[in-house]
Amino acid sequence: MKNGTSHIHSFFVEIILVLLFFSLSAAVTLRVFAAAGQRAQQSSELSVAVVRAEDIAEQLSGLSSPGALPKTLASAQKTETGGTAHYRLFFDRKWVETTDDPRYVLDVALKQTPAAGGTRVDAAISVLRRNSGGESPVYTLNSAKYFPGAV
Amino acid sequence: MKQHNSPFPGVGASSILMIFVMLCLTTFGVLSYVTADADRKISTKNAESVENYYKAVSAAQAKLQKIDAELLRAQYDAKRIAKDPIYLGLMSDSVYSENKDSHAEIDALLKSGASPDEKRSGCYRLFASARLARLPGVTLLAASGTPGASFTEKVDENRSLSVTLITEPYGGNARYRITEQKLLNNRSSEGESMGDGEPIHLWPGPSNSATENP
Repeated sequence: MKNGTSHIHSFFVEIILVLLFFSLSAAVTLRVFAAAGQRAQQSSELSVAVVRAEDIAEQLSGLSSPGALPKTLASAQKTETGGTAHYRLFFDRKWVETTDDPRYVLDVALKQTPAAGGTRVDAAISVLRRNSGGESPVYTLNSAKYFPGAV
Repeated sequence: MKQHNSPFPGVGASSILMIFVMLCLTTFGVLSYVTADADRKISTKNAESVENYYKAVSAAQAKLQKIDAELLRAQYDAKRIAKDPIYLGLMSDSVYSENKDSHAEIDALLKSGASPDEKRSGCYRLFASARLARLPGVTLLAASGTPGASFTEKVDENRSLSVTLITEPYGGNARYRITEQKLLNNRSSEGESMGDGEPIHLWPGPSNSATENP
């Protein structure tokens, strides 16, 4: 009987130690999974931001006059500061255009600079993430297009 | 030897089970993290590549602006000199004075019985060649008709953007027309599908419809 009791005691002691080590290891492993998830989220965010920014840059390359606007920006909010026109588009978490509680902002700044032979249009394309602290940049792209003869 | 028919498993079984579970969890966790990190690095590399490409595009557009300004100046000079040969004095302009051969050619053209349009076209062709040849980083292309030019902008260590254009005749709708824009691989490596220096032909872009405003 004493042997049986001692056997049961050993088992419970072992189980308690096993559970202790399991909980410690699981806590560390869960942090690793969380970090992996965060990395995947950042990668996905950056990939989509690059595609959106590149889309605007390519549309700029295809414009035929400096006054024309990339098709994507037709529905954008427009503001002007110091000769530079800012166009803003808002997207939700799934990158669907929305104005209600947006998660991401696509900001395109277009500046026209007249020259002797034509007009140069510089574009600063930024994809920003909205969070509680404000807007933080995800990706920034700069491009330009020269339109000869359109002064 | 007495055998104990205990309902509980033996000492050590739970430890072995715990070790097995932790090994599995750790392996999957590390694999997930390594895969996600590799994905992020590839995304970052792609983003940098796109950024570098458009920096080169911006630099190419700046160069096109300079080329257009030179061609506009050449048009203006050609119009002036064809209108009144007294402006031959402008040939002492450092831009044109380097090429003595064209002096004689222009002189002969202006003294010939050619029409004013022909004089302007001839002078413009020579002036444009002289001005384009002086631009840093621009290579003048020998052409039977109007002169052409090409230049290259570096994208990154492995790629460069090459632009080739020809100047349009005097009095046309545009001063230049881009004939080719390609992305060149500066370095090839084994296993890549593209050959050594094989260019990627990009969309040449719309024709420039500039009006003459000297």
